[in-house]
Amino acid sequence: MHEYLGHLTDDYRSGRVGRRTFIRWAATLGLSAPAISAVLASCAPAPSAASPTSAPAPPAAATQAPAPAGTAQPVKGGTMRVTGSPAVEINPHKLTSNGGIITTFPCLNFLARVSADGVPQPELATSWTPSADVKTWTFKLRQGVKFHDGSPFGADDVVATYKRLADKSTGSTAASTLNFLPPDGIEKIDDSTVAFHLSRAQADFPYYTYIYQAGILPANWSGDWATSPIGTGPFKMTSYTSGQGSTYVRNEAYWENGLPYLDGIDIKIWQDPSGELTALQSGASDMMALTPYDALDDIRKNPNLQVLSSRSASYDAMHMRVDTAPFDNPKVRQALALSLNRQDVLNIVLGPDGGDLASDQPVAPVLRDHVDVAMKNQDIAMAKQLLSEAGHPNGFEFDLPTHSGAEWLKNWALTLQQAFAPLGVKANLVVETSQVYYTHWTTVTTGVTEWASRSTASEILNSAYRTGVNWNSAHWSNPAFDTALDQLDATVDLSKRKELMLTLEKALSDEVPAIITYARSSPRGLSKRVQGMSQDPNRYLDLRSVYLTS
Amino acid sequence: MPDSLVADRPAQLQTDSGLDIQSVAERFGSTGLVPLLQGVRRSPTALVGVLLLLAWAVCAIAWPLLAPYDPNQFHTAARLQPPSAQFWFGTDQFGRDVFSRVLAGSRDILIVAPLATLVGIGCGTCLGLVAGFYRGVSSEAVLRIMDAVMAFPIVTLSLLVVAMLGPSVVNVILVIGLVFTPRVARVVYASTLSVRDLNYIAAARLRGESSTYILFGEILPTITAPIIVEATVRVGYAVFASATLSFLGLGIPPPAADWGLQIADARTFLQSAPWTVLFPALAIASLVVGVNLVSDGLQGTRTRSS
Amino acid sequence: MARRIVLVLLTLWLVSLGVFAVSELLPGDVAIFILGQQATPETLAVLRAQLGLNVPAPERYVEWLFGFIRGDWGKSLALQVPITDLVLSRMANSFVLAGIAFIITVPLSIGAGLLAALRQGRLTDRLISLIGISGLAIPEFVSGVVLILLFSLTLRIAPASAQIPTGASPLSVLPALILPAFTLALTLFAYISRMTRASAVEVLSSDYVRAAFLKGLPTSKVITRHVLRNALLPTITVIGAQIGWLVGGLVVVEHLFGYPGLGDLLLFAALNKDIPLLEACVMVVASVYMLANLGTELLFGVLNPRIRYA
Repeated sequence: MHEYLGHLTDDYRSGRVGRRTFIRWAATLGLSAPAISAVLASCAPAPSAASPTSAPAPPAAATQAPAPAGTAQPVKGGTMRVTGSPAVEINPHKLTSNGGIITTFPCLNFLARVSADGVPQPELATSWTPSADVKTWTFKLRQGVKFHDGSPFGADDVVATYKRLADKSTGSTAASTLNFLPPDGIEKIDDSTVAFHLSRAQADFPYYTYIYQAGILPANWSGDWATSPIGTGPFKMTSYTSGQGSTYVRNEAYWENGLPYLDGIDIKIWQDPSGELTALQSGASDMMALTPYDALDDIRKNPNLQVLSSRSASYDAMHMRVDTAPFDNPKVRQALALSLNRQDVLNIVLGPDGGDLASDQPVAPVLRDHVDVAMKNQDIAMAKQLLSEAGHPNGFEFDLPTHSGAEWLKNWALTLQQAFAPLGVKANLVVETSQVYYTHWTTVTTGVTEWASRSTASEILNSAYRTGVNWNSAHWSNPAFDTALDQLDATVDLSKRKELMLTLEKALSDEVPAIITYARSSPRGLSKRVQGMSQDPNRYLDLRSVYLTS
Repeated sequence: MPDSLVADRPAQLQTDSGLDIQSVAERFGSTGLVPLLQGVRRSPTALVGVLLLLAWAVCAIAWPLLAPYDPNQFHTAARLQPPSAQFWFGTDQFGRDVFSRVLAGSRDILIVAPLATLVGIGCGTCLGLVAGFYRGVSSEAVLRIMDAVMAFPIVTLSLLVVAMLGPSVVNVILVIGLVFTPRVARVVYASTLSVRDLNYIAAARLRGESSTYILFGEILPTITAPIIVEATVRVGYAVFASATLSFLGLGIPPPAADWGLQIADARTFLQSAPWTVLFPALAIASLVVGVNLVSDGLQGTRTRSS
Repeated sequence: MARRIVLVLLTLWLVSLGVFAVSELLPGDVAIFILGQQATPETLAVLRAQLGLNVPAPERYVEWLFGFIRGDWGKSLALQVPITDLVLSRMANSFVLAGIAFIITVPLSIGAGLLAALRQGRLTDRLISLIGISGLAIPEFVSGVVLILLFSLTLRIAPASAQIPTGASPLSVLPALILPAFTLALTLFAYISRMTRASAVEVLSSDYVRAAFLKGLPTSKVITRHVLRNALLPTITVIGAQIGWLVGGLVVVEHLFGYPGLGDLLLFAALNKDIPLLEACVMVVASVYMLANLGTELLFGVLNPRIRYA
């Protein structure tokens, strides 16, 4: 057990740490669910300013959507029909698109699973323990689990999977995210124990085992998902046709007793979301994997449909290269940030319930490590002054590329364009397709990009804002930020983490390498006959507790 | 818009659906401008077309005076409002006044279409004159290349080139002009063929006049009538093509008040806020119908009984 | 006859040159396109060698051209599937839609043209002409959108989207094809009805038809025996010419209704700068267009004994 856990429990008991934070951090450091429940039950903490009013459930089964009156028990049976967007790549460790994620997820399990509340929970690992310096993580693996081909799950499979993920030469898209894990740093201790020897401390490592590429595959996996879709998950893939869809049946030998309830899943791929919408509205499908924000009103009006929405850490960013004029002067970036009425922007692009406001930093309020920084208000006078000081008293003109693959993104870009206009700043929108945009998004001077939700601040900050990483499209380099991030990843002490988070968030908010006005929610449109669907900020496809009525 | 209607076929195969060079030349004589206008005056439908065009032309020039709001101004409190006293055509998803946007959109299209037509007429006329005057291998080569370009429907070719070069006003004008060139060239080629052997042209050749003079000083004035009629037909296609390119996302980028772009953007709101689509649609429809009524009147063979 | 075929082939060859040349001019690196944000200089070099991008352009052109003739059209960059099957199936979809549009429009237009000819100069004639002009001049996306608004969203008698999960047959969603086919039919209506009207007028004023009327033949018999047959000749050629336009010019209608046809694929390829797919689509569209025109001219020559080709 990590030495900090005692400290943490004391902090909770004395009210210095809120209940929610306690649960999430204790679970991260490897305190078992029963132990956590015991702590919660055994004391009534003094009310603390840090705890939010809504208390999440202790780590247990996934949260259920409230069942309407009359539907009491889950019933086994039925095939759920899901629609999704196209996926070019479906090998789990090379995934890049949501279409690929939903094609593979039902067949897979991960070492840990992160609930919608941000609590890491045991899945293929029953427990984990970090070393004192959180550079070594030892995972105990679940016994009696079998792959879909009948072979037993064990440490060899974990080692092989993570080797594949961490090795740059396999073409894994997770390699840069897991750059603190050397490919030969995964050690099999015995058949049911694996140790991860990290090259850099990572206090949030359990969250990193739930990135979408990290589904556990057999050690001798062939490398081609379409022909050998072998995982340990609740469903088995029975057919796959590229560009069309896939079908699944229940894994009768699934290790979570009683699950899944569904007999099977039927995924159909559509090139265009409007076709998916029509299918959902007409009852031809039960759920849209990704639902456009402007369709939500219509869906809510339909008596057979519902919207399941979770707050998430998805965000949109207008990055500005800090090494290229005119954005190389921080005053310019700050001026643009001050031209925005962020509540208006949110209302227009996503609707008033569409997300949480953000002050140019991407750590959303829903994340465990979030701390509040001052929210920027619209201040045109100050913005104009900053621009004059930077040598642009009459504004300037620039090209603003974005892509059409995410339908709200263009609207956000347009709203930004409008907001900049009073400063004399003229942004010329260049709308490309997503394929084209992503070939040069890290080299253009500025661009508007959407970011999917991730479970932890560490992953978000490491992926895009550390000096020199692939996705640092603003080419921002702040050594103090990098050092603070290193420290954050190595720090277990919560109060120290809070200070570091404040430093990190403030650095981003002050220097504005990217304008970020909100954290988006993750809505999903689905039929009312779908019950037991858990909230899913990352929009994977977790259907293990889902059952159908009628 | 299928364009086999006009001059896609070799001169021998002119059917009634094509532009009949002979009859136009006969009807309108050598320069034919005045008779052209008389032809328009005589036809009531052509008159309606002229009125429509004039109305939109006035809009295009004077919209800043006529529009009650700035077409790009967001009215965040009044988004997706149906038509009302405050917003005559309602508002779109950003709260922009649809009426002002429709007025403002007339300028873009009334700049692009005529300019594109000019480019096409200019290039096509030169090529057609040269090909018709100098027979032989080079003329054949030019015609083959024109055929190759014409192997594509207008929208397809425009789409290809604009998608590759990038959407901008200049590119759209150039591309549409380029697409028109072979079609105009064919008309001019056929006209040149029919007049090159006329007496006074032959006389000029015998006199030893330079080719340039013969082409532009003698032949060209003779065939202005069919060129003008072709030009008016082309303008209609230009409006059509430019609106279509905008709709496909290959025209002027947002937040331009371009009609095709407005329709494309507002498609998702077709059910909940149809006014955002309907009014730009009516604008396009009225403009193209106006142009076509005028060019029909000039051709003079359609709406009247023969 | 042979000369015309040679000309068509020559033109197609010029088209292939043009397509290849334009694709060469495309800005952007194909290899980065495929590897996306995961590209590193080493992987890029490997992929470029694999794609044969290091070979000089003329050699690549010849290889591509022969591949095209053989039927091997390469692999789509954006979709990562073989192009030949994709393009052919999309083309089949487009033909189905075009076919349905023809089935709707041909009888309607011919009938309207005949009616207009019989009622020359009167209100019916002018009305039909006006409808014709509107259908002709108004861009398909405008008429399509208005039709959707009217029939789909207000009256609710036809679906607004003609999307089908790729691989399913378009015939399985037949009701969804009504609106796009109708939109196309509106545009075709003008040409065919005008053609029919003009030639019907001509025939109606000819001597033998007048004689038939004088003989006392009822109008219906005159129409079916004399007018129809002769008026149809030019009409058939116009119909033939539309086939070529339809396949490539369907872009707008397919895009508006989400119909997976060749036009929509062409738009997709152009927007995504998917060069192999773009080249293949363009060649197919050009070929179909030219072959349809050629076929029409030959048909016209066969049917009309007055005009023969050397």
